[in-house]
Amino acid sequence: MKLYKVFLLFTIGIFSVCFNSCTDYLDTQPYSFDTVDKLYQSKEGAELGLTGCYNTLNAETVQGTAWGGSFVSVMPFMFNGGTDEVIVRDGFTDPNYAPFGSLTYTSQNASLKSNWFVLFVGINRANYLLEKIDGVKMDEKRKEEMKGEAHFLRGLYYYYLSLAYGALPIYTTSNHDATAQREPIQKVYELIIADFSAAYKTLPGKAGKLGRANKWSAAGYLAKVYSYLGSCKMNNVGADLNFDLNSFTWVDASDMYNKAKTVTDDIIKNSGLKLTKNYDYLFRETTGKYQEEESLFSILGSKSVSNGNYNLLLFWQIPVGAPTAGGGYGWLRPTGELFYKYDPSDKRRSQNLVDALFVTNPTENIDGVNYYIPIALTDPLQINYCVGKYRYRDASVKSISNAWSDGDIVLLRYADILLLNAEALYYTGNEAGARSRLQEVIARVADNETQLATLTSAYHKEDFVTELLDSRSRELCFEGWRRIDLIRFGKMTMAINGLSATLGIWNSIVPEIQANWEPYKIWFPIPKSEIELSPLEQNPGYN
Amino acid sequence: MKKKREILFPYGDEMRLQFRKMKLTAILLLIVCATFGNSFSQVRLTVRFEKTDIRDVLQTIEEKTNYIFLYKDEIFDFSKKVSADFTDAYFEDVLKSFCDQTNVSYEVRDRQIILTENEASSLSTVQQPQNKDLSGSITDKNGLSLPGVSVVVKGTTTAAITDKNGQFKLSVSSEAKILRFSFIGMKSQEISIGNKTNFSISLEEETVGLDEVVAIGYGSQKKKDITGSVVSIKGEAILSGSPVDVLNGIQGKLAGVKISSASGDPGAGVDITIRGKSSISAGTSPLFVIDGMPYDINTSEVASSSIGDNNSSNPLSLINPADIESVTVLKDASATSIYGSRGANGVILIETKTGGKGKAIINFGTRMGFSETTRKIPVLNGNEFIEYRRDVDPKGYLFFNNGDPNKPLDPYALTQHSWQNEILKAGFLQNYDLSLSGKIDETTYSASFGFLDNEAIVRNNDNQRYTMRLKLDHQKSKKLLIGVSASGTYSELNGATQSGGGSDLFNGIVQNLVISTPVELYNPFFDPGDTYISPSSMIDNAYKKSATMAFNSNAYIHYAITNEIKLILSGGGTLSSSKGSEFYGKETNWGVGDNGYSNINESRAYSTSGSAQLHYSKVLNENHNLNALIAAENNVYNYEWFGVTKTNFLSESTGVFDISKGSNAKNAGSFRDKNKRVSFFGRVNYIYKEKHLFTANFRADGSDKFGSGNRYGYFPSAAYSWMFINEKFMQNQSILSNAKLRLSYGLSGNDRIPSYRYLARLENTYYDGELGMSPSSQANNNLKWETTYQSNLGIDLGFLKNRIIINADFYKKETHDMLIPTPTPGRTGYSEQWQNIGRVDNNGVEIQLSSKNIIKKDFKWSTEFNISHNKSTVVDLGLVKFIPVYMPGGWIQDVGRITVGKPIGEAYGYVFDGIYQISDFTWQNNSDQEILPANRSYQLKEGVVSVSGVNVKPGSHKFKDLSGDGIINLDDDRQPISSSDPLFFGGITNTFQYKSFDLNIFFDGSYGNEIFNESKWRLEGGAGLSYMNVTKDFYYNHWTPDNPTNKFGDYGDRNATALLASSYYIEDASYIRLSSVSFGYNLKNDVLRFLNLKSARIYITGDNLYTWTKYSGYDPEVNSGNTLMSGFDRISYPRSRKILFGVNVTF
Repeated sequence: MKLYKVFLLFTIGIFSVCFNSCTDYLDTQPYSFDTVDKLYQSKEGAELGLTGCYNTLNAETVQGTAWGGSFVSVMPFMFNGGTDEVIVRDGFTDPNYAPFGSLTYTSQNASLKSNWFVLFVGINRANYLLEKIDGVKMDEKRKEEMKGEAHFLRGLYYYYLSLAYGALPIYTTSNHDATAQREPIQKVYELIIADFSAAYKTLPGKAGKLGRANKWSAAGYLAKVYSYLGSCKMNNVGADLNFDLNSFTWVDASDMYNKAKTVTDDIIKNSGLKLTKNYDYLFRETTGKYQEEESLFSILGSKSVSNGNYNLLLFWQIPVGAPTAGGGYGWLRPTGELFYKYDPSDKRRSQNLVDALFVTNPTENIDGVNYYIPIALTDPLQINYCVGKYRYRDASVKSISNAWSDGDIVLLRYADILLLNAEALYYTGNEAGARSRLQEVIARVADNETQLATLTSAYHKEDFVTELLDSRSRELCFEGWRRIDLIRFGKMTMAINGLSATLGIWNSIVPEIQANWEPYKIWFPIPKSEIELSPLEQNPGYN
Repeated sequence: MKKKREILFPYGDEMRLQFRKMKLTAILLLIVCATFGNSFSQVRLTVRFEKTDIRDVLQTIEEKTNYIFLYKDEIFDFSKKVSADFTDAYFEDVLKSFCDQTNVSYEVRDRQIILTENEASSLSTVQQPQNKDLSGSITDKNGLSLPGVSVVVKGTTTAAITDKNGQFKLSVSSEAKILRFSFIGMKSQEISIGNKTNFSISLEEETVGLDEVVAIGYGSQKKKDITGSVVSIKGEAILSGSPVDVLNGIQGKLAGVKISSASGDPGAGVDITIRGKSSISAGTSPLFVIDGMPYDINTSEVASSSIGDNNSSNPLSLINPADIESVTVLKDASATSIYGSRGANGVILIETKTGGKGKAIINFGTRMGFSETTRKIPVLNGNEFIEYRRDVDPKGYLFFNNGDPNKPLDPYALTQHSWQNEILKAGFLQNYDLSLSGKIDETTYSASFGFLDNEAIVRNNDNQRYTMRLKLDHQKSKKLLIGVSASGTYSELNGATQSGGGSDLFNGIVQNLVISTPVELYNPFFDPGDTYISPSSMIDNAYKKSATMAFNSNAYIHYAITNEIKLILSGGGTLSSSKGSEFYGKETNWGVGDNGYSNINESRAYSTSGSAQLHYSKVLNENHNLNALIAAENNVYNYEWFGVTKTNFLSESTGVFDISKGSNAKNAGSFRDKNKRVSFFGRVNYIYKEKHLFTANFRADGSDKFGSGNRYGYFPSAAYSWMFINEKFMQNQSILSNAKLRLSYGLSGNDRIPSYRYLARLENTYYDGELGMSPSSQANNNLKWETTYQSNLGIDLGFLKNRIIINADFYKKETHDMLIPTPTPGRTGYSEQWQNIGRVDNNGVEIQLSSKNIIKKDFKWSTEFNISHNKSTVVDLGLVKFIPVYMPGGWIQDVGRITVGKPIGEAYGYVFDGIYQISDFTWQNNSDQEILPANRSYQLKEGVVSVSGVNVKPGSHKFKDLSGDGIINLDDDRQPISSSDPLFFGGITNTFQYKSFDLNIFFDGSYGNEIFNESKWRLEGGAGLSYMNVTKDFYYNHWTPDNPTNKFGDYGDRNATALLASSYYIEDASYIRLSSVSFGYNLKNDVLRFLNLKSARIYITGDNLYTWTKYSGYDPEVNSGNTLMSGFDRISYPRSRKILFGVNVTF
């Protein structure tokens, strides 16, 4: 009789513990996040997914890791540092960033690991959209546009990845096989060109949302790709490395330049873009409406005080100085050579190369916003000689942390298109047309015809390519093109070896940099952890 | 007739416990089932006699039950023999049978059983004609009056019981010769009466030792019957150093348990590991079980700072240490696997005090005293600082207005400060505890209230805590016991960000005390605001409060279904709510960038758990003793958080109390998490002939943290123990009084990872202020528990009647299938996936020794000593060979690395190899000596090792060229350079008693652990341009061309290699600490009587009195908060030395 009591009581006990079926009981659902399968279920979901594809451009972190892996911090170091424009500040040894300024990057560099990862995340997100969006019930026109944007972004991420690392595994679905191997650079560019072309074809001339990719963004990057491939072929880039994956021998250079000319002509003729009047307004936080006149594609800094990605320029792209005055750290410093590349009367020199910013400095007011004016630089041997191209405004009127910027960064602008058009004109046999394009760019910063003539003659080089590269550096310095320009024209080694150890105060590190340079470093190494986790062929020279 | 051996079997563990409880109420550990019956009617026992002498029977029952028989010899016919055969019978029934056989009757009075002749009136038998009056008082060793002591004239029924003041009066016949005093839990004493009429007797506690009952998971056991590795400490020993929280009170006192707090900050987090770190990502802190309720520490339950130091406070600090009865630590698998998936890091059982046994006892304790910093870091004073800046930067802001060479400044005109002296002040601590316990009829009660006010050594930094607790047990019937308990706490932690700790910015107040310039200099280049911000203005313009309320409650029913089977149902819940409020004005480093910054956040956690347990005990016969348990349990845990940050305060007047004055809503967020668990488990204990002990455990745990296929984990364990002291061959020796060998092996688990890591999750991915969403992880339906396989070999030895007790344990733990966010190839678009990979091993030895060195009437000296060694090794990490450990927020960040084949917690870097000297370089004009060092353009000589990418100069740190290629680079010239974990750690307590005085001295220490002292770089002129102060030691000894030392480099900002993580920053953090000294005096009886008190003790305690160490920071006991690199310091809050005076009185 007691046994049944035991049984009864214990059963009650068990049931109080485990309500109905124990399996269901443990089938709880998360409250504070969604699962992946819930994303592409509606038009709204698809838009969220597309915004996510843009997010990678300047995400502070992705999946809680890879800090600053894309344009927000790492890529400006990768594509500017260790050139004849900008080098590491002597004594700055941060292992994540300093190697780009001293040309000591290795396969264990954590920034490269972040960069490689973040760009592939962007590709994955675009692939995910392209794969799922057909199943979403929504306006077909918008759907096609969204696809165009996804193609553009996938092309963009692949383009920058390939500029850095060369040959790559190619993924066109959301399931990225971890064992996929690097495809030759030819295959990579076939995909990039196809993606940009698709976007060029489908996107409208003006994006539905301000700052999103449009037809001219795709056209501009197509021009970039064509001229890159054309110049790499003509200059036998990387041929001495005997590394087939990264070879450009397959390229038809004249075809590329013809295409580059066609597409840049289209932009010049039809895009409605122009050189904005004030060169310096291209690089400020609050001058977006002027940037729009010239920008083909910008990285947007969120204007929201609480949500979104901000841009970050304080490591080296803004003048060194007091944070409240909008000053930065100066981890990379300009070479003396860049200073002397300008004519003293060139406004771009006083914009791009400056002395420090203090709260005691005078301010200027641009459309109601105060900016501190850095001390003018007269001599690159000044201790505060620094990059001053980009500018943060007076931090006291800023609603986000003064480390960050809510301004946009113009990634590709009309001046570059003019210069690419000049390059294409030159290689398609029109040197005169090419030179007049160079002058068109200078004309903006000349106050009058006299000054234009002065600058034109001061900058004139008999060899067009030399002048073109100098022109590009003067106009586009610190905008992420110098390293690639030097590489595609086969001039990287020459440029490094040509630096003087004494021309600028920060040039004292030049002998180190020269000792560190090896021709194989035109390619960044595939991150070591990537190879360890799933084997992949490394670029030559690295282990 | 030769009598057969009497056997008196207590009824298994539970019954033993009953008995112990009666004997040892004062010191007994409360366990859930212990409250099952504590009155006469509840006593059960197993007895077997066959034709046994009456006296022997009575004596044996007295011994076993602690009830005393009062009788006159003449009532018995001693020639008669009695027999009995009862198994787990009620005492009542046993007595009835005995009385029937001997023709007597009995009456129970308190603990006395009066036996009389059947026909006589029981009352009249006590009233003997008397002619001599005796009186006296009875106390315990501390002079505390003992009420309820039986005073019996031996061999008669003449008896008395002491009153509430421990007094007795008794009339005896002139023939009375001997008085016998007896009391539960005390040694009985017999005193011959002689001519004395007044007696002052002090009863001694019965030595408990091996008969002590300790809590184990879901039950309790006599220490001698335990097969696993279990160590426990009583409330008394925890309180010896006047700790403000429990962990602080057990630190250094238990072998194998390593406790270190992050710093001396009143809100500092605490790191606790048992037998080493056995996990990389799933948490290393043990499971806490508070009065039977399992409790995973979730530090985010206490609102932490949104800025700076994220080291959050330990939720256990919400428990008042004065409420603690005992703490028991379960270490090996046989002890912990009953907690299954939560047992792998060990289990700490905390039992709070339970009800009394008679009239109310009221205890009031208070202590108060002062604290001060133990150390100041010697930095330059104002004048020295000016000299230092003149040396480094003669054209700088200190000497010229805005650096303008035409406007020289007089630096000596600036106000000078010694920040550490100005801001580190005397702290003040006060604490009050009031408790009440007793018993009314069948209900026992216990209640307490406590208040702590701890004003720390930094201005505006303090902590208040209010605690209350109530416990009620009601014995409804012989079979049914019902109990409830509840406790509540409110705690406030005030004071702005104190330490940088390991994980955030170097701008805490404590760091600023050290690094701030000793002259009031505004440096427009680096001061983030428009004015000079001093540590003082940072204190005055900041407000931070973390206020936490916690409430726990549980209820239980114990029902004896049969004599063998008992059902326990229990259920309860916890609720905590913590609110963080912060405001940082413009004149603080934290608020200046945002023009005023305010954050309010609230965390709320609530959990419920319930269990049903069936306990079975059976003594089959004299050789076999069996105990078993089967049970089921569930837990639901909820956590919610929300927070909002506003900035840009045009008026700071109302601070955090009206954040609508902030014009920017910088941030707002919320989060909810829920976890469920279901468990089924059981245990069997079997004892054969008191020699061979077996235990087997099994637990099945279901958790919603894993995918549907892997929700259940199974954790078996087994143990065998050999009590060879009870073997025949040990009978003829007298040295060993206890000898036991313990062996165990088993599995336990760890699932302490964030929820839903098995799902493919989406994350919010904004662009241009718009919400986007993107995949952030790949699903892993195979995710399951970490499993730790642990074997343990232990030996317990007692010497000289257990005056010396040694427990030694050797263990080997292997943690397999570690839960690690495993790196995946980046090209997949995912950085990591939670997987079960890799293995960590921990092997170690623990020795605990306790010795009663001197036991004299007036003088006693005892020693408790423990020492532990643990070695952890990462055996496997899957595909990767190492996991880097970054310490973000500082200048040197790439500090640590978890490497296969090495322990967890190692720093990784270059090996310091002295300083580059001028002789290592050439310079212009064939090294022309005439050129001043400042004007030389140095080139390294051939053959001198260079550093890749860095322009080394004389005075730079030099490193060992491990690869031998002549150039130091990141990839092949670094190696593990420090170990966060000590080789040995332990503690020693000496307790002395002389008459009414007592003295307790406690040392603890650690040997062989190292700290990466990152702050050194800044304190050696690293951040030179930002004008931080430097240490005197460095300033007066640093490298110069005239002082070519190899010990210190040049100023950090001239020394590019100083910024690289190297062994230069590694410091030995071994220490021995005189952790506490407590000296007390117990008031004498006459004084007590005069004051109408039961007992009173006054004492003085010194806490953290002195530390012997080579470490150059504030304190060698540092814990960065990152378990993967705990030995890392960025100037943490100094630990204070406290002197406290206290009084404890009992009414």
